[in-house]
Amino acid sequence: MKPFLEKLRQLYPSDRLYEDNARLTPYVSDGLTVFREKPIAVVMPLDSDEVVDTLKLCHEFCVPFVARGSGTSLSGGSLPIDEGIVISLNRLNRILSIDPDNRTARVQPGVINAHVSAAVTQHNLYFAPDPSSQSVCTIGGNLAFNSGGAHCLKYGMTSNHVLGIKVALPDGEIVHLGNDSLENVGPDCVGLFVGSEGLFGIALEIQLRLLPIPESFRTILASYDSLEAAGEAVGTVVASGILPGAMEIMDKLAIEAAEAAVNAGYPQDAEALLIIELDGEAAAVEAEFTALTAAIEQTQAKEIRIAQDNDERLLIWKGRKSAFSAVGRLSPDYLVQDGVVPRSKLGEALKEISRLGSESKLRVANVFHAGDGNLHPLILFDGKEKGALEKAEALAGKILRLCLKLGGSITGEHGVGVEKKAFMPEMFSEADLDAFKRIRQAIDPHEISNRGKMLPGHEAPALSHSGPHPLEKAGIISRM
Amino acid sequence: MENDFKLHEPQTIAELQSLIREASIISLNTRKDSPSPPNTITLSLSGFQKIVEYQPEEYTITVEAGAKVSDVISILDEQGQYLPFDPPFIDKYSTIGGMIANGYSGPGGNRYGILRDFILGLTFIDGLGNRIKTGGKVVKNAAGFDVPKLMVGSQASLGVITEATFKVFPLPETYRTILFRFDTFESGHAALLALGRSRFTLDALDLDSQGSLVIRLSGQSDSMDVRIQALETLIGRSHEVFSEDKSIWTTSLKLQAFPQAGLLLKIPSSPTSIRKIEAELAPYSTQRRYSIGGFVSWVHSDNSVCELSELLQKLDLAAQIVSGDTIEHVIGTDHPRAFYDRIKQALDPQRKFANIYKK
Amino acid sequence: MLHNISETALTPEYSGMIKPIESCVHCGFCLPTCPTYSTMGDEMNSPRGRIFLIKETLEGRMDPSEIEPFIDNCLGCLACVSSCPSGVEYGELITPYRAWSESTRERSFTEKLQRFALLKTIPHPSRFRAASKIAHFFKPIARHLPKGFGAMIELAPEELPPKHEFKDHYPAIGPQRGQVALLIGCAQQALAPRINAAAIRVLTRNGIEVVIPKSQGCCGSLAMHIGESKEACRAARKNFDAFPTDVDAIITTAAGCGSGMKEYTHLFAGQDIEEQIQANAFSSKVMDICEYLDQIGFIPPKTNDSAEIKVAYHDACHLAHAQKIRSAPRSLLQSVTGITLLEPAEWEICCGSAGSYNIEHPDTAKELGRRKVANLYDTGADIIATGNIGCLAQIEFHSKDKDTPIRVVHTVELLDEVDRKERC
Repeated sequence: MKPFLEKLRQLYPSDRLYEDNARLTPYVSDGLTVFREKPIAVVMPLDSDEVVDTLKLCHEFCVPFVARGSGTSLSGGSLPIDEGIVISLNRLNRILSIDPDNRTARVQPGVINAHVSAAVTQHNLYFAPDPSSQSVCTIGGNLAFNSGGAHCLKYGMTSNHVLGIKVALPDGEIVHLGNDSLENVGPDCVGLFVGSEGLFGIALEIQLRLLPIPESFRTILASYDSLEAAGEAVGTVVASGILPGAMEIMDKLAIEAAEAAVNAGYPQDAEALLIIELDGEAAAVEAEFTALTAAIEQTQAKEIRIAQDNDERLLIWKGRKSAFSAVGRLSPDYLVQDGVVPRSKLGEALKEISRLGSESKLRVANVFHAGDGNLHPLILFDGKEKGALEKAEALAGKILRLCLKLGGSITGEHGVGVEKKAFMPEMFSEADLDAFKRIRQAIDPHEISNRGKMLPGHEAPALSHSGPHPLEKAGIISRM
Repeated sequence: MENDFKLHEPQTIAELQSLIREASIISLNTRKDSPSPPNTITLSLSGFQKIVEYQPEEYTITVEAGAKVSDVISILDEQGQYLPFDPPFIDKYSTIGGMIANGYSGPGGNRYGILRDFILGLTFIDGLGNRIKTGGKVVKNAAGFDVPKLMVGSQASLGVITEATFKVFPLPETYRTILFRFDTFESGHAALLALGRSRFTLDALDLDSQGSLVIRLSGQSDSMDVRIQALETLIGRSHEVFSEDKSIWTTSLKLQAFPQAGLLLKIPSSPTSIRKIEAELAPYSTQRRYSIGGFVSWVHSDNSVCELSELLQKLDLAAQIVSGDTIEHVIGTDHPRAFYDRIKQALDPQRKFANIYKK
Repeated sequence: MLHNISETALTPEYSGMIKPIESCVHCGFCLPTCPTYSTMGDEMNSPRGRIFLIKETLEGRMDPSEIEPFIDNCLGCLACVSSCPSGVEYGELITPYRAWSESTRERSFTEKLQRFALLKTIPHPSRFRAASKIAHFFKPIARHLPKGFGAMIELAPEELPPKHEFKDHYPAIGPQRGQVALLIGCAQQALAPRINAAAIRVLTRNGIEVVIPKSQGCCGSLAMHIGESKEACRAARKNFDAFPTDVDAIITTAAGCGSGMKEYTHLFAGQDIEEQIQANAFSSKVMDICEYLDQIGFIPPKTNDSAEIKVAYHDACHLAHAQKIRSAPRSLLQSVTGITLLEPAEWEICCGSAGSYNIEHPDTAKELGRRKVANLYDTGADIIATGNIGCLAQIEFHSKDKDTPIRVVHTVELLDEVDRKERC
């Protein structure tokens, strides 16, 4: 490792190369703190050339690296790699150009998601993907994990909003994927790169697609006496043929937490809350709104509220987007799951999750993208209690299996990361995983780019608690 | 070559796998007019036409790759649903597998996105004969590499698609197609730019070389007149009524209206770059049509592939050959080549399938 | 967040540090609002990073000396508290941690001298006046002195307003609605006695009797926020004795003092029970001038002056983040005829003053000061209002190179019945 570090020191001044304990320690975790691993160094490149030089060095010495933005991954996607380095992209945070006529913006990977929309709002444009962490998370991370958000239902995920990428492959070779068009010739390489969880190298420049800000919004809150009733209401709305911009559900625990965090004004007596937003041309939205209210009236809503102005609308969303972190008020620790079920199985899934929760004697808060069937059960536990983390992880595993059994997926938008890679063999066959591995190795023969993420195999992450991880016990993962 | 032609029609996945394992060169003849090299085994997926799963309330459909696109469209239509990317160049022979491999999207891509935005899951047989299932059947899924998207536009160069799952949308209550006629391409183009930046949510926005702008609106019927009035205010002139029927787009406005002979190219473009394309390509082509709000250009030409390829390179553009008497797949620039070559090596190490780039 | 801090390892006065560590879920929502993270861009200079480092230190995995620079870099602005969805009270971690680590800390002679100089001048108006005069002579050589001293001299005001003597007691004008005691503060008393004078006029005109305890002293916030908790306790005790307990409220016009005095409860945590009760009682009476006026129902000044003024309101961190007071000053200002309120970009980011931060970390403080002034000037305001003397001085200092510097005033000055032409 010494010769590698010596060369790294030639590349970076000491204020952009961290090797001491105090400066490495804060990088041991991202948004998922149950996994912790200390890198051998953290570097802070200032431009693309420095990134490429760093990759060439890593390739030469077979040193694994992970690119990191704001470290908000909920699947451990930016967890450092043992004996590896962290490439912090926070200073590659420039919006390089904005093209209002083509509705595109070219940005560096360290740009914060919300900053893109802020920079183009003067042109009446915005960047549609809106993960709850959008005020913090970076475009590079959105790209790597194909981040979603509340408005995926109508507008799709990050992948649907990336037109072109300048990529540094894991050996430092530069390649341009896509272009400035929605269309493409040849295989959709941009499509493959987005969501590859950092296994194919580092995006240096990203051409984003922007959308005109909708002329009009209608945001509706409907409260229900049970989570199931809210779930069924989603079915009613979908069946009516209306395509809302977003359809979200929060349960009582999540409402309580969000309310404590931002005073969003949610009804406090509701067991479940359904948030529906329509957007588009004013005339079209008004016509849809009439149809939507008619549909909701058929459901068992006990109260229907409509946001009266934009401030009220933003407050409703602020509450929803703070919900995950706000659950920190209810419990010292929690695990967030991200499974997806077919929309018609929502009610069934929620009932079973609640049953599994009480069986494990753990509280589960629910806040999720109902329109997409993308669940976010938050499993609350107290890490100080012996065996609590293991119990929570076991419940998380049961929930993931439930999603698969119902024909869904183990992750809708948080990615596999380290957290769910042990479940990949349950979703994919050996041949499928082998194909993934072949693609990975063709692009990254030494497997240095974010080693240990998404694909099963390789070293298990360091765990903060003592005793073997339940997945270790099951023989699925192992620790060095 | 015509004499060697033998169509293989496997009936099971196992049969298909062994055919691929044994063959040295495989063609799916996705472009019927392109000649195949000798010793080619040409496959037909006519044995794979099933609708695997369709629950309308899920707004997803899973079909085998040999299913006819027209059949899928009518099955969806019966339930009041559709593929919002308007698959173009569809005739009674067009299959779902061919549609994905070609990767074309019609004018409707303007509203919600193109083919790649609607594909959720995909199963294929790679060059080694392995059956690989990727993506999922739910509308949102971030597990594993997004191979379903990769296969869109892969032109049968990475594997044989056997099954796919799509996201579908509810059919709008009504459609309205209107036309704004301009004197020149430039003034039509200016209106296209203004509309692109505006808050209008148009189903389709197409422009032709003569400056005719065709717009499709969809939605609740009682909002239509107000929306059209607002459009007229923005554009500053009145419209000509085309039709309230969506089928107008597959009859008089269909992309098939291009001449049968000669080359038809698909060129990814942007709202601003189509001006350059119109100016530079006019001397080399007979017809041009700008679709999806300017994000794709369909160009028909009687010139040689070589000449066009050089011209496109000069303009830093790439094109896919839709039809024409050539074995070329992609001409012009080849920026993603280094990435493509690595993936090709992973999925088709023995080079049994075509290569989309010239050697 | 999972931790292994042994609760018995911390004495009662420091055990409050565990709760914020437990509440932090490491989501990172604090990052973009943290002034050091937004200027330095690295994890150890973020609230999330500092919490993690403190956790490691309290777990015994790291030595306090290792994390010193990153703890020192923190301005204590508490913007992270406002942006935290999990409700982490970062202030209840950083302040006790600074005191906890101070006991084992080895400081250089210059550092010690600088801290000594700070604590022995700023809280004492007469010494502060004298020191400012001395500093004036050193201005030409400021850049040759050690950084902190250089900054101190550079920041020292060019000239001070004449000394202002306050009476013990100001009766309410008209029917009496309440009675308050006013903390006149230390640095503010020397730098801008006009603020308290305005506060007294506004209060009495609103029917509030104002008493000014003679023997009052510095509130101790400055010492508290740099880890000198003994010094802070001494200052607090002096005020416990000086202030009457039967008033409706103890009013301050400086956000820093208000936030510090509201924290007395934490300062005396784990100490003598009688003192804890006294601290609680005192803290519960403390109110910022705007908070109080808004609560009693402020009667805006009657005016025939029709002049329109555009006011950019700057949120002082210790008012907005630490005391969570944002709407009161705004609604007070908006109630005054002719005032249009403007909101600068990045309201949540600190101006860099932060107690004595601009003396201890002049480089970061300068960058933040320039950034804040740029945002305020971008609003096109006629005047800038804020609720803290530190911010006021910092904004004035960084406006110096502007062609036409905009006047900076305390919010309460705009609530006063002075002819508006004089203000702009």
